[in-house]
Amino acid sequence: MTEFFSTIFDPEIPFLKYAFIAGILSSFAFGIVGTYVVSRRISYIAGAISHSVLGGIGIGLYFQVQFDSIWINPMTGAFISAIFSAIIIGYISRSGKQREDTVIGAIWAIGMAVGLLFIAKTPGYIDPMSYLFGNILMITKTDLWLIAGLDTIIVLIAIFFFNALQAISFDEEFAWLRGINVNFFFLLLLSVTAMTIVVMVRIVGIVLVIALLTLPAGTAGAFTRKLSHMMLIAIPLCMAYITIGLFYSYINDFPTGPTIILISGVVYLITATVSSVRHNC
Amino acid sequence: MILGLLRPDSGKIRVFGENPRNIRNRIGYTPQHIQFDPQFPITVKEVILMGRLRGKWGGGYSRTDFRAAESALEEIEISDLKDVPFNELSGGQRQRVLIARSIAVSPELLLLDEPTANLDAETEDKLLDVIQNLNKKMTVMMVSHNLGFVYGSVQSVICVNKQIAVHPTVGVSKSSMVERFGDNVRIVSHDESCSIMDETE
Repeated sequence: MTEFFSTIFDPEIPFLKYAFIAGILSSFAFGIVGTYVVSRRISYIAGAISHSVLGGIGIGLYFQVQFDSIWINPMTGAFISAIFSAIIIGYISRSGKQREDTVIGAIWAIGMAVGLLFIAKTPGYIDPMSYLFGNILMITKTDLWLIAGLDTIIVLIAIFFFNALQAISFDEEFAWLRGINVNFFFLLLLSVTAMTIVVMVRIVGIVLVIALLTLPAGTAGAFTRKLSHMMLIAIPLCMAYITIGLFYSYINDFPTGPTIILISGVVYLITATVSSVRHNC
Repeated sequence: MILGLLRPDSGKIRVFGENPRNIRNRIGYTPQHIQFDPQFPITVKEVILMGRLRGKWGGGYSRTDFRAAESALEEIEISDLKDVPFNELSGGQRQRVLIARSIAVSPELLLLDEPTANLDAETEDKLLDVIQNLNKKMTVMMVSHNLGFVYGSVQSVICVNKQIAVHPTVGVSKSSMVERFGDNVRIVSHDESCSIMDETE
């Protein structure tokens, strides 16, 4: 453990330090947005958004390599596709005319398909694995600033709009009767989720981002019956998962993303099982 | 439609002389059911405070809002439940919390949809006392499918079955009820404190 921490602060090896800071910073976003995703039950929407991001990344890569495009790159592609999917799902879910889960499945699959097609047609070899499962050890200083910026936006939203978001998540009809702009807040929630996914895909990848969005908040839910407390528990839980995951992957030479997810998944399953057994007794 | 949730196919709805959508915050409303997620982490007090939300953006709660929530809790006699998670309550307790939430609005008109639907007789009586007290301060309008649930305190009844009739409670006669709802109806005499059931088969 001491060796791990001395390595983190070794100026010669910045990547582990960056990974550690990225983990701590991203926990704020994961804890807060995750709490809304879990309690508003939109984790499948978040899953569809994160998988649709591959489509954006594929298109971005293709344009970047084929046409030397500066503006269309994997990052902008991911951002546009995430917001685009969030708006489509949000709009369809609001209008209530289509089955929401079918739309979610469609966006999910189309995103993956578009991504793989464009990656296949991009000259040179690109390994889709790094996008699917991420690599926290490739984090740069710019990424850290990006995560810090995202955290600031999310914390401000969580503080100023806490009551409105709580109301629309719990009882939308009543929130509407009180004059709350429910459509705006639902789309805000989806957009913030989409932004979190785009930034975090760099760290844990498309497939695993949904785990860090739901597992810490899900575990926290077993310990409290207040939305605000759920966030306050989810944040340090997420920090612990990422740090411990980094540590184990470092000493055992495991891939980082899966190690982090496995730890959070096991803790969640144990907590969920224990609390349901206790509930039934 | 009074709440502005539904728009009429034709005609206009005016509540307090205005479009219902513009006076949403002058009406308190307790639905029969709310579609609520039993896992949702929220306490009774937080649910009641929702009645104090206002404006498009919600914003924070002031001291007045907390006071209003406290007095709504006292009015419905559920102050002891304020820190209890909403999902741990029984059906009757939930109903009372939702009524408290609509009172916290400080409405001029209180709409209750089937307020006694899931309650046992004793809780129903208690709730009626509460509603009678509220009626001193605001107009209370409630929907009931239970034809027996029209009590001594009710000032007028609107019977809706294909047609609409408004009458003072004293004027409801057995024949008028039979005419409106068919002959398989149980009539409760409203001018007596003790209900008299009259089975017409």
